[in-house]
Amino acid sequence: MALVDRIRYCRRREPARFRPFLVAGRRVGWVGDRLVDRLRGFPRTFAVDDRAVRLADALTSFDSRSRAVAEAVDRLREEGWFPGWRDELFPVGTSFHAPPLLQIERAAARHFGIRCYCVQLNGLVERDGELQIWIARRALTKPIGPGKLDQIVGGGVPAGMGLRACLIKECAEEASIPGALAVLARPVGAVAYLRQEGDIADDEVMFDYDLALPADFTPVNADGEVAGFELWPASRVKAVLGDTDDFIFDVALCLIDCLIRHGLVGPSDPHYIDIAEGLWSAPAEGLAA
Amino acid sequence: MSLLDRFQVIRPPDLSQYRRFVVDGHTVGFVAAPLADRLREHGDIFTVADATVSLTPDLRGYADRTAAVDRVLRTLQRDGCFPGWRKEPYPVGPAFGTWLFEMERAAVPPFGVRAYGIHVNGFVGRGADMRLWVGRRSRRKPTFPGQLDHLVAGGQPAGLTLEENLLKECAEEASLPADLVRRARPVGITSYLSETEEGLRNDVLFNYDLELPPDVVPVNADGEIEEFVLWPIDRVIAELAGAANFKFNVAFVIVDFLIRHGFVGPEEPDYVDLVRALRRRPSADAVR
Repeated sequence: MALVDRIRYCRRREPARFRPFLVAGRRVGWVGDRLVDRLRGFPRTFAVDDRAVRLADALTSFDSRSRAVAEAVDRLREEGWFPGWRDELFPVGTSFHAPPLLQIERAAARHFGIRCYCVQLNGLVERDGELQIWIARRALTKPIGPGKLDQIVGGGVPAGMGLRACLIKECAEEASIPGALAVLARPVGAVAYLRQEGDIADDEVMFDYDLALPADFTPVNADGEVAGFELWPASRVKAVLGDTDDFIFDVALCLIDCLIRHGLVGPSDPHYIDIAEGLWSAPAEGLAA
Repeated sequence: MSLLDRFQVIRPPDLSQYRRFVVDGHTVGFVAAPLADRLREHGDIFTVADATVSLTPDLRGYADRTAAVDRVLRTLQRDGCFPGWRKEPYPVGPAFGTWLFEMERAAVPPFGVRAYGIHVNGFVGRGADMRLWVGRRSRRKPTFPGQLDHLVAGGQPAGLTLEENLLKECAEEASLPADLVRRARPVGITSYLSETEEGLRNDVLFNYDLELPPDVVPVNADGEIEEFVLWPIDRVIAELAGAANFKFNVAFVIVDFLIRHGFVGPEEPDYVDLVRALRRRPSADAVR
């Protein structure tokens, strides 16, 4: 195994089994065959053909779209769809800064392949000239990736919350990083991928931040989502990323980006170019390609 | 203009209009119809088919391929192909470091071959006090004369490692001593595939950050840079978003630098598009 395998995992596509989900003529997601078939039962809300699933043209406003989709999603939930119901509405749109076209229950968003935006933090410590990275182990109760290795802080950006505010909130909840420290986090780029498998299309844009943490700071989890933290030399992070799939797959992209930016994965890696280009493998927003 | 407008110069090709350039079973480039027609005249070296232009498999080694291709290129050059002949061989292969032969630099875009380069962001200071060294290319340079450039940047010729090329270019272009240059840190790549007048630019730029002490002043030694200026980051952003005449790919690498160092952040409406524009998407490269 090699670092490039982490990239390849995130690029899995099953184009024959997913159809683009269009709202107002713009692609906002991907729907797997099984759900496509079921959505045919809601002809006033979804128009299904061989090429795409379209939200009915008669639904022209944020409210009417959100209401119609919620009715369908509630019915499907009763049939056992969308495990891990969150009671949290998630915005659906064609870009992060554009006004959303509708909103949808978060647990259903993954099944509609809605793009999710996250903030992800590299907690860094410089010790004796070597970069060290705080690593979290996800709680065994997490619905996605229980027990997997993770960054110190990361999370989806809820509707209506700014990136910086979201980062500060997650810093407090996940690692007890005080606000005065969290505001020093520096944006350093973003990675993105689209991964299709089974019923799920994960389409994620992850905004990355670096935060230099004081040597005497120890993260403490406050929300039960983290089983523990460890401070690892970057070389160990690199080795575990390359040799195992112990890190949750999407966070692996953020950490590889971190290693590249800090010069710890360089041109001597035979896959350097493929890795760097593969850190953004998602299609353009709004486009079906 | 906006930072994103700097990327509008990229014109992604419709690769179905090109023939894949195949050497030893590997796709190493893309050839447009006019050049393919000329290569038919050299059927002993090139085989032109519907979807491919192949180097004859009789040519087995690096030296044989290089010599045979060079003979054809020189013949075509006498007919006016490949203006701007540089006498600078570039390596050709399916992946960086896996080289099958080398060819004249001026022929690289017409064959759609991937070209590699190094770009060095030379900066002074940290955080809000950071400044970036910017060079102005000589007005006598045949390519992009007078345009704004990096402290050091150059193509990656055959026969040198990246580190050797970095040391050489830093000495020639900015008179930087080797012990200083060795502190340069690889920080990623920028890549693009674009139709241009000279052919297909299929470029990968290896980007480096080099923090310079405030008392080091670069001095050009090879006549290729007219002057160096040290700009505060605010000025760099303003000039990039304004009308300043940056060499097109230098602008890409500086945008990458500004993003990595947090000077351009995700509150910028174009941020997602900017990050995406910095590197060619893997989906576009079924072949390279």
